Amino acid sequence: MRKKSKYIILILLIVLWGIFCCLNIVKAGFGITPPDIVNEYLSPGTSFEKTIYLVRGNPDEELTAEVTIEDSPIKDWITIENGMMFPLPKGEKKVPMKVKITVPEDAAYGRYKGKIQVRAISSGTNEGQVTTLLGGMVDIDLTVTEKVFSDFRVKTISIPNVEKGNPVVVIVNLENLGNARTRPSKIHLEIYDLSHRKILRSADIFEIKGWVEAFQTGQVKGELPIVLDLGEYWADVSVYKGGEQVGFAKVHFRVIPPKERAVVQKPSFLTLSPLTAGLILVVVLVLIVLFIVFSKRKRSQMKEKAE
Amino acid sequence: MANKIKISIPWIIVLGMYAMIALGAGLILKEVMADTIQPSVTVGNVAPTVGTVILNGGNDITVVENTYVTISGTTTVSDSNGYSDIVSVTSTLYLNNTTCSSGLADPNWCYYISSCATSNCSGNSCDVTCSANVWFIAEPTSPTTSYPGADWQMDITAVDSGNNSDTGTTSQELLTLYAFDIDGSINYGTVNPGGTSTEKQTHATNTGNYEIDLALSGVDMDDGAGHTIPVGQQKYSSSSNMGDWIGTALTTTPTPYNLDLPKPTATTSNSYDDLYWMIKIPDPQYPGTYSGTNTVSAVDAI
Repeated sequence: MRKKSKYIILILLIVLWGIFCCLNIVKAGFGITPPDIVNEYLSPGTSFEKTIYLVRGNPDEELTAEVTIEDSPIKDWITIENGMMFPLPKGEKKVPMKVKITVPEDAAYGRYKGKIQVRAISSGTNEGQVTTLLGGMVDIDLTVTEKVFSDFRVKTISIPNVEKGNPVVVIVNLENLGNARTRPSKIHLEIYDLSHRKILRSADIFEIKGWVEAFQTGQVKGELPIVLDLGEYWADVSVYKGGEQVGFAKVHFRVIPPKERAVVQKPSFLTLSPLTAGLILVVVLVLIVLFIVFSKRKRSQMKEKAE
Repeated sequence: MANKIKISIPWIIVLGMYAMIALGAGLILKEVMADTIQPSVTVGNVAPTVGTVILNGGNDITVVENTYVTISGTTTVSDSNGYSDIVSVTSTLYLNNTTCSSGLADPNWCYYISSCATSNCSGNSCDVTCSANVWFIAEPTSPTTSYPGADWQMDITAVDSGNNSDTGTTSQELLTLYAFDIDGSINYGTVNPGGTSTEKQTHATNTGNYEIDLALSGVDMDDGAGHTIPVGQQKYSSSSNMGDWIGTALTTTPTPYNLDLPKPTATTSNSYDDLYWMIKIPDPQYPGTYSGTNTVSAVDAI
């Protein structure tokens, strides 16, 4: 009996050893995305921001991110908006790290490379052994150029609901990839009925409101004055850069009553349905007829009495 | 004459009243007639319309190491027969140099969403949100990856009661994720001056979506009393046979090591390798318990 229990304990120990020592248990990893910052069109004096996400699939404890910018000619161009040490909170799978690159006014044209190392540091220390910290490297690849480069990427296109009588407003959210402020050269708009079959209006909007500064993301607007009935519509919106179409969206919008007119109206005779109006008219006339008949009968009775 | 007029007045009033009654009755009759005449028409079933999808708010997609993130796309769906005529909204999110359907679902490049959520339904339209749990192994599409010309595309398809359908679409880039984990500790145990430890095994697992190598660095080990063991006394190797201190000496600056951890293709990462460590204690060396910190960082594959 004693021998048997010894065997059971031994088997249990072997199983536990197998679980804790030999299986591929991934406990708490660390990652960076994206792992690079590339910009080929920087002008002296410009700056831009890039967000790098520090990710942990199992953020079961708070760690501290420690940032080290490796020595290179561009070391002083780099600023970490979060600071060089910042928390990676427990429960947060993605922590944004904002990197700002500022090119000095006197920077020479050319290509520059650098590296940023981020380490995830735990507060616990293990005496008598080597602690292994996990980290990631962000590669930086910058080109300073005298060329003016204009380019953008359309992120979203939307049309807010339109109050009847107001123009249709197209909002284009775009990311400026170039080193000069930008906006689309033209927005082409085709307005369709609800079934997206019948085209109601087709127009080009050249007067674009707003600009998006170099390397920024922002909104520009275009307006089309058009009177549409209340209801739902579709619009095919094409965004142009020069002669090239760089964005397209099929967008749904509604034409709604103007807010000032959307008050509750008092009912009037004219607003009643024909059936109700007719019934009221008949009832009133019947009452008048009855009144006349009764008054005539009364008068004739009084006449008879007098005679 | 005046008497004649006096006699005619009641008749005129009565005739006027008859006229008004006739008008009222006419109005009522008109409505009643409208109800009783039953015109016949068959309303056709018109295909629904799906707007352009906004995927992940118009931003690049980022995934999280060793797990999944929920990625959503939104659009508007309308149907001239009323929004209730829309019977199903499904979606696919996929690497757009491949094809994707329910039968081809694969966490590396194809996610099928069998039912999307509708909200704000009124009149003839509804807002639609389609969500997929995207795993860390999803193929990246950044310029330096294997699919620089491709993007992740979301198609949203609405089907109505007449089996008519329409599809809205959009695409976004999925960013590269360098991520890994190291399992196992480095405890060299007791080693005499001039002696070498046995190999200590650690296990590195790629938990990102791109092939990586590891850059290794460290600091001198110290005993807290001013005595140190230089960082270069530690060596590492992907081979378990380090003999009598064979391997690459650790340095204070991160040095890429060709461990070759390819992109994993399974949600329980199938990309891993062992990394072995060994230390040689200088002779003479002050006795004590020495501790240190080694840093392992994910870098682009060499």
